[in-house]
Formats: sequence, C-alpha cells, structure tokens
Amino acid sequence: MSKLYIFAIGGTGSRVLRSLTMLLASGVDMSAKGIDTIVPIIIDPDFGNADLTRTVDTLRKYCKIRENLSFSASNRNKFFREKISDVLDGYRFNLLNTNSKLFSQFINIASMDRENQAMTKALFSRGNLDSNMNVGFKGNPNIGSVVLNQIVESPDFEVFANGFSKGDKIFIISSIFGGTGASGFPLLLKTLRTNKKIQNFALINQSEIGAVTVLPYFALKSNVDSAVDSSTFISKAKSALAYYEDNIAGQIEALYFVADDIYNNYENVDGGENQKNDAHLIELLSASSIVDFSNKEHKIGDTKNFEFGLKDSVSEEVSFNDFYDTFQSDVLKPMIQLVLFSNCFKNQKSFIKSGTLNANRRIDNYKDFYNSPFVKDLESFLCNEFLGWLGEMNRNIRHLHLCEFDKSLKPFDVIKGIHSKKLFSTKSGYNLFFDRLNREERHCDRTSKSNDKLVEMYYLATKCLVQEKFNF
Amino acid sequence: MGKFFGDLYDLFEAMFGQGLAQYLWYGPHPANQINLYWKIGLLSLIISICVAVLFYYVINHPRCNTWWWWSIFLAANSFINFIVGWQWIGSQNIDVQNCMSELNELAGGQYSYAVSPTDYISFGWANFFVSMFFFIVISFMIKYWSRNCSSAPFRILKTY
Repeated sequence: MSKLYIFAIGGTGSRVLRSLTMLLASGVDMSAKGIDTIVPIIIDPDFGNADLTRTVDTLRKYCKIRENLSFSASNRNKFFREKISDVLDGYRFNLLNTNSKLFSQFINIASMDRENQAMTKALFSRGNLDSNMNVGFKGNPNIGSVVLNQIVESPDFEVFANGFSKGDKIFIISSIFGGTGASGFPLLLKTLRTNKKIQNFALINQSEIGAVTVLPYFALKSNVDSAVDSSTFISKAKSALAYYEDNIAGQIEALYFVADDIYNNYENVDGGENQKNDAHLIELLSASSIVDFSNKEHKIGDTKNFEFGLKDSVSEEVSFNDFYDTFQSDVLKPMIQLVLFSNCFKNQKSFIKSGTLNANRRIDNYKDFYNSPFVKDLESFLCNEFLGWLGEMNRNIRHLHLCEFDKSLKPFDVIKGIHSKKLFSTKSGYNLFFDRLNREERHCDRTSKSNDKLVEMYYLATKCLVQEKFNF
Repeated sequence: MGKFFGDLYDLFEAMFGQGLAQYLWYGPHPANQINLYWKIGLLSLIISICVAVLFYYVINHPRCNTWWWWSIFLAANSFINFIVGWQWIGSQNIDVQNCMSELNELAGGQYSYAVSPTDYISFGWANFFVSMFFFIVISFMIKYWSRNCSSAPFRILKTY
C-alpha cells in the first residue's frame, strides 16, 4: 500500500485540507489505486492563521477517533477508514528563518552592496520589505517565491523525502490569486522534479504528481489597513496562469482548476487568528479533486488538465441535483451517510445511549461506553465539526444547500431537493433508522471492540438507508 | 396434553372450585372420562403465542424493547385469556344439576362439589395466570430472533 503526500499551501490549502478530512470521515474512497495513507503537509508561514489552526485541530480530532478504531478485513466500516499520518509535528512544515522577521531581514538587505540593494528595492516595494513573515506573504507572490525557495533546506523536507517510497503520490493544493499558494506551487513542483540533491530524488521524480489550483472564489472587503486587495486577484490569477502554461506542462500529471464567478465578500484581515473563513463549496470541490487524483492512474509526464462542472442553470444555491452522477455517488452519498449518522447523534442522543436500542446489546457496558472519551470525541466531531462545516458551506456564497438543517428531526427529509421513498414498513423516521441499525448490528463483526461495532453498525445502517430511501 | 394442561390448571383449583375442576377433568358425562382442559389450555397457548409473535415479530418496534412495553403485552394477553376462559366455560352450557347428579353417583351418593356461576369468573382468572405463564415461557423461547425487541423484558445473557 502507498501514501499520498498532500502539500497544502497557504490559507486555501488549509481550508481544502479541512474539507478533505470531512470527506475521509464520510468514508469517501481514495484507495482504488492502493493509497491507504494520507500525509498532509501544510506550508504556511502564518502559523497563527485561524484557518490553519482549525484544520490542524480537525485533523487531530480525526486521527484521535481513528486510532481508537481498527479496520480488519471483516470490518466493513468506511467511516474514518483512511489513515492520516502526521509525519511532521502538527502537520506543519517549518520554514527556516521566517519567525518574527521582516522580509528585508530575511533577505538580509542590510548586508547587500549598494547595487544589489537598489535592485532589490526596484523589485520589492517598501511595504514588501517591511512585511512581517509571521503572517504569510499577504497576497504577494514575489515575496513568497523568494522565501519558499529555501523550502528544500528545511529539515522537514528531509523528513518528507526520506519517507517517500515507491508507489507514493504527491498532490499540491494552492490558490493562484494570493501570495503563499501562488508562489509556493510552482517552486515546490520545480524542486520535486528537478532538484537532484534531495533524498530519494529518483523515486520522487518518477512519482505521480497532481495539483489543484484554486482560482478566485471570494473577494475581500475594502480595508485601508490591509495589504491585501482583492481587486488584484484576477490579474494575479491571469499572470500566474500564463506562467503555468509555459512552465508547468510536462512536470505534472494532473492539474485541476476550480473556480467560481459568484463571490462572497470576506472580512479583510492580514492573516493571524482573525483569518477564519467559512468553509466553501469550492474547497469541497477542490478536495474532491484529490480523491479523483488518488483513484486514477496517471502516465508520468503526460499533463492532463481538469475542470469541475455543475449541471446547467445553477443559481447562487447549489444542491444535490446540481451535481453529476459520479460526484453524487462517489462524494455526496458518503457525506449523506455521515449526515444521517451525525443527525442521529444530535437529535436522538438519549435514545441511542439507552438499553432500549437493541443494537446496544453487544456493546460491553453500554452505559459506561457512551460516556467514554471515544464516544464524546466522535459525537463532537460529528455534531460540531462535520455538521458545522456543512452549515458554513450552506451560509457561504455560493451556498451549498445539501441538507435541510431545520428539518433535522425528520431524518430522511434532510437532503435538499430529494424526496425520500415511502417504504412498506410499520416504521418511519428515526424508528426506521433504529430498525435498520438493529438489523445491521447482527451483521457486524462480533469479535471486534465496542468502538468498532458502534461505527460499523452506523455505517452499515446508513448505507442501507440511503439505498432504500434515496435509491443511491 | 389434557393431563399436562389439567395439572397446570389444578394449581389454581382453589380459585374455581373442585366441582368445575371435576367437570373439566371428566367432561359432562364422567363415565366417558373426556378431559376438557386440553381445549382451553390449547386455546390459551395459541393466543399467547399469537400475542408474543405480535410483540416480537409483527410490531417489533425499536422503542418497545423495554420491560414495561413487554409487560403491557403480558397484561393484554392475560386479560384476553381471562375473557376467553370466562366465556369459554360459560359457553359449555354445563347442566349443573345433571352434572352434579352424575358426580354424585360417582361420589357414592354425596353432594361433595358444587358449581356456581361465580366459578366461571374464577376460572377466567385461572386462565389469566396460566396464560401469563405461557406468555413468559414463549417470550423467552422466541425473543432472541426478534430484531428490535430481543432485550425485552430483559437480557438473560450477554448475547454473543
């Protein structure tokens, strides 16, 4: 089995990684071509960026839940199945010499001779030179291309290169309209393809590399105190695309482009703990490109470009029916399974923890079990992280209105635009859910631990219910 | 079968009296020795099986997997059988005088037993308790295979 290294560059990289974590929790399959471990590596000098810290927190919660589950051949659960490995401390890539430094200090302008200083001042504005590296490159790829050029010298890069094995793949997430991602992606790709000094260069050079380039999908409110101006996003994106056209082709196997022409106006902050944007549909689609890349085989050196399309006549609101069949079955179906699981925990908490639920009969000391740290972590992930993430996408622009949150008490009316089928059964609503849960519990691996039994029975029950009620 | 049911009902003989018990052991014509217990016993057993199957397999509701829901069905079964027992014995058209005469002859000329209409109700109560026993036994025989209610009224063993 192989690993998929994911370099998430900048704030967009972190947010896409967060969406990918939710997809993995839903059980979206990434193992069609032998990938069984995801290794996220976040490259962002802005360590205090709330988008980044939130993603790291989500990744940690995912891993904490997963380490309490086992996935034997007899266990059919797919929720949390994919392993996420933290080869770097906190999934973060340490950039050398960026901590609490101005860009001018980083390039050591003071030690340059007069001619070089003049050249540097011609290339970088006063604002650029006075930029604090702690908050990223503030939409300035010219700074990023200098700072990130030393990426290969970091000990963390050595950790990555040493751990790289035959069959492993690499994926790079970046935005094209900011600073960190726009500059980091081509530099990183160049390093991976051409820098012969790195460990395992032969393997890395011959590995499949994919990337998603996120084009502008939000705007920023006008803020005179901020160094970032969203009116430059389009022109920056155009310049970067022109550069990619000439320099990327042939070095990468799959290049995904995701974009939108309806923007939400985010608060304009210079990184740090105030940069905490709601999850966005574009980030989910970008995450799905990683799934697509992982599940396909790519011919080395043959660059293929991909775009994501929705069905026609899509308005500001996107719902289940606006996606094509493959996306519905590969991505949305597992998500809906996890929505059913999460809503059940959220709305029927007291019942599912009681002895009345027959499925609990094979759980050792179910009363203690439902108060265990594992169940609390799981419940928190489902009800706060996952449903919260869906809620963010719902209120963002363009809205992803996948679920009806106000109808959460009716479990099968949750999918916007989809009417659940009536079944020939004496049970309906959550009673039907519990009936299927009690049925599927009998098919679970009886020798497994309570943690595994719990998640497996919910996986099997929701799988059966989405088939019966929605014909997925 | 008649003996099995007869022995079971005899546990409650004090409730409905020896006269009725003798009638049920030997039938309207004691000389023929026709045991009538099997009829009411089998009827109660079938009703109890039906109610238990209804609870565990037809209704089989996820929220009924509790001792008190099971108790409601136990009570319903017992009440049905109380009515059935009372009405069944009433429908036998026992010729009390004739019956007692024949009994009298068998008993050597003594009027040892008496049957009164209140014994019919008492027999209904006996049937109530017998069917309760049937329901409990049947419940524990069939509950394991119920999808939603196999833990009602309670779990006997850890089921794996």
